[in-house]
Amino acid sequence: MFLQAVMIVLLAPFIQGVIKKTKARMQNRIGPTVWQPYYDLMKFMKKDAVLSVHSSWLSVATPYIVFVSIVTAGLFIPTYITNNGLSFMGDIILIVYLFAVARFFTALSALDAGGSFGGMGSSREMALSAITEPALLLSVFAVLLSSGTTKLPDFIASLTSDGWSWFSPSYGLAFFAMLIVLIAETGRIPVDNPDTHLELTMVHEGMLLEYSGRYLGLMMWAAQIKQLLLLSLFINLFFPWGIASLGGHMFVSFLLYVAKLIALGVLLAFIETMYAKIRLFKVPKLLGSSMILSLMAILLRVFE
Amino acid sequence: MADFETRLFVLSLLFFVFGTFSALCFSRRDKWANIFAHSSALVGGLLGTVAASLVLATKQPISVTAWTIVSDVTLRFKVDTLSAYFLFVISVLAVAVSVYSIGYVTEYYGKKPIGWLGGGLNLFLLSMVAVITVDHSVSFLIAWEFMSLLSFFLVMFEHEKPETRKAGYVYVVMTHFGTVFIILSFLTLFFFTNRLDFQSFTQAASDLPASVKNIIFLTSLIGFGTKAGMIPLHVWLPRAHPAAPSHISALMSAVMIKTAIYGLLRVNYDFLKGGATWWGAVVLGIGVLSAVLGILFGVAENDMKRFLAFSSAENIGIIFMGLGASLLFRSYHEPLLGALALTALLYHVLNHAIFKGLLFMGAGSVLYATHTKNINELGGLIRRMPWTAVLFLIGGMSLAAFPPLNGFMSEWATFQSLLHLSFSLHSPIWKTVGGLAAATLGLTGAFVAGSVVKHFGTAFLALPRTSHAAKANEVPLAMRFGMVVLAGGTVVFGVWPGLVLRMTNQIVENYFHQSLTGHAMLYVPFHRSVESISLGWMTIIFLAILLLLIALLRVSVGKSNNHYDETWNCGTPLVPTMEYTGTSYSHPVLMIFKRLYGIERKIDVQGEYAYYPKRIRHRLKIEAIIETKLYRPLIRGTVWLSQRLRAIQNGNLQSYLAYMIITLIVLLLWIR
Repeated sequence: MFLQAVMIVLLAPFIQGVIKKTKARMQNRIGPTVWQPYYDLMKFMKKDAVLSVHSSWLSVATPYIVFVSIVTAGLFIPTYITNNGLSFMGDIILIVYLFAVARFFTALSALDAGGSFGGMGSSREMALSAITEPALLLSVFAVLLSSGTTKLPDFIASLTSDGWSWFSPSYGLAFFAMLIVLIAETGRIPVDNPDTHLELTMVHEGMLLEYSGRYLGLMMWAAQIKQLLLLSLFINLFFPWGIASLGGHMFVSFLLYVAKLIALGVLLAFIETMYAKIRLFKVPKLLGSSMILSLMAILLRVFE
Repeated sequence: MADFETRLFVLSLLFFVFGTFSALCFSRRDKWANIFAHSSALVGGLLGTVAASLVLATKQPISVTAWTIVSDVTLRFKVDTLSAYFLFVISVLAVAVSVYSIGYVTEYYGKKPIGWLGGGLNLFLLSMVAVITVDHSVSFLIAWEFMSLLSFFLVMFEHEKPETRKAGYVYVVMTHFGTVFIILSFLTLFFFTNRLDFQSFTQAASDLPASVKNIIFLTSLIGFGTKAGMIPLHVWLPRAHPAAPSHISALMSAVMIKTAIYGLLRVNYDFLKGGATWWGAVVLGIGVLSAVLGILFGVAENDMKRFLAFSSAENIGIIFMGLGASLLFRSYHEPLLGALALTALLYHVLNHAIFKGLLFMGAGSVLYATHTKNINELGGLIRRMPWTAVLFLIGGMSLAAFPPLNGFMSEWATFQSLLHLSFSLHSPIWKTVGGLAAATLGLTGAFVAGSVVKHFGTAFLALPRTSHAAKANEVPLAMRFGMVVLAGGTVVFGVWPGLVLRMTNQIVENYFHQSLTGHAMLYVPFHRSVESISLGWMTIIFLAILLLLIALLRVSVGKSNNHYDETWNCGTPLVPTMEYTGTSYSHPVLMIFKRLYGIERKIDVQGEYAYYPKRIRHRLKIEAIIETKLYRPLIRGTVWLSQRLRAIQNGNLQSYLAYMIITLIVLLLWIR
């Protein structure tokens, strides 16, 4: 359990680096090294912070709450081992709601300083999350329906024991449904642009506008961890092959897990390069299509 | 042993009676009326809590015959486990609200008759306790009517405001609409069993023919549903709850609408013992509709109390989802799943009472300190009112079902019940419906989170928008204490579900012969898998990681050096008018769900060129679609019908005599 917490915290910036590097290469840039996010985080931790005079204790508390909520959620998500002994206290519903806690405090702290940019980001984030969250739940349920449990380790155990027979059209539809949600939840193009600092287009970055120093570092780190966790969730719901149970071939399993993460990161970077950001009010339609896909996946599974 | 509980229970009723009369006696002296009314309500609430807990612990029902009105009609109080559970909810809220009121009513000193307000509060509490404890349909209806009328009077307390009068009028019409259907349902029961007491209903009603059971189910659903505020019968709720004084709104929203849930459980489980599959489907459908529409309308509100009222409709929707699922599982003979769904709904009844009471008190504190509940006139209260801010935030987080607070636990149980419609039933329809219903529950959760951010963020954070907000002071100690009691409840019932399970299991076992286990952890052994959750352990881990993080940062890089400066505003100084308002905050949601709201948007640009406007006027008209499409035609139809009926009332004595004779002949023919 302790190992998993350390692992997700340390691995998250690397995946961010991989994605950034791939994107740079695809745009014919050399780009910073994959270790750059680590240097950035170290720099942020050391720097002094500037806070708004209008802000309250909430602005200081939020980065800690957000970071810890996401790491806590990470303990319930299988990564390279199926069960780390904690699953008795939480399932996918708890994970989704812990992410929601992080989002809630981020959105609140964006309003704390009183600037319009924070308000804009916060209002957009909460409006979009109202559609992202059910879309995420629906796509996860579409997958979980085959095993009848909300506990991820149990689900993965039943999936891996089935060998190759799990594959079905329903599964394929759920895959695409969740891929869309994955892009939306990690705040990537075409839903949100993680690199922009143009105030009018940002959603997630807009909420962090007033943060600096250690607080910004924690918020960015938390975002990277959340990205890693969502990728892990995706990987283990669809491609759990080779995942070890406790005490199994952990080292091989870990290498395989990192390889899968890199592959998925490259895929995300590829999608991000291929598309332009879409208008804010078209995002619900995109997510709506994800929900329709999930619904079709459920129907296919049910009437099989 | 049961003797002791009986005494406590009777004593608690007597305290409410004493509170009523003593407050009225001191109606000339505000301070005395305040102290007498609320301290006796407090004692009454405490005694009620203890009595209810004892009944739930020992499973020994209390029975007191107070008055035999006619030979067959008696006023008898009978507290079985179901009643005791609701008695517990009401009593806990009575305790918190009466402490809070000691501070809150000082607002009305010298302006309004405190004696009547305090007396009304006690009598209102008494009538609610009576509703859930009497065991005779006539006395139930009397108590029900008392409860409705007293809450109507309390809503009308600030009757000098025209909108309050309008709200009160809508309320009294709607509540009587509901009462008619409750009477119909009891009359149907009477017609087929020839008895009026609940005990005979319990014995005889389950043998009734299916069609009669269906009628009873439908009439009771409409009747109690109106009181519960299910959509589309919710129209009174967002009007009446904000109009009442805040401690009364807290009681109305937290407990009064729950008496309707009690009624539904009594009729459907105790009397009818479950029914056809479509019952569950109807209730589940209404639940989904109430939850989604309730919160969608709530998101658009800028009035704190109106938002909270809409969110009550949403939470009733969640409770109905649990009820629908439990009825479905019952009809499919799945006792364990039914027990889970019933537990989920009972758990949510308690949780909603606690956090909604807390939130209404929080909104009341803001109203007390600033004299406005429009969030666009507030801002920056977190510095002026730090206690209220934290307590409101806790309530809001519990409302949004965030771990580790209690709202999450009951929502988790509801999620599991809905998902196991998919996982465990074999019909393809339920498999689909279960997943969809769970996703809509997720949707409402996200909306609630957004609205809480909007309300808390606009009212409590950033710069004050008006001088009211800038000069606000923290509310008196009594008010804060009342809120702290409930805020403690949100934590305790969140991390310790075993406490609630110990109470609900007594009820659930009666109907499903199954119970759930749990201490610090809620644990459900299903057929194929075991589901469990523990917020207590999660919180411990959360705190451990938090401490570790802080310690590591301190050791490796030291304390953060904070500097304070102006908010970034493109180089211009920040003024309150530049802040995001509540209206602008919910704008994206309104635009995304345009069709559901029936929005009319007008943008008026003045100036020579459109790109350099001198003035822009933006008007947004939100028509609640239910009111225009459903209620307006109904009202028009009723008025039209009444006008036609006036034709027979021609004021001519001869024709009235003719009507009488015709009626008499018809009656004679019919009876013969």
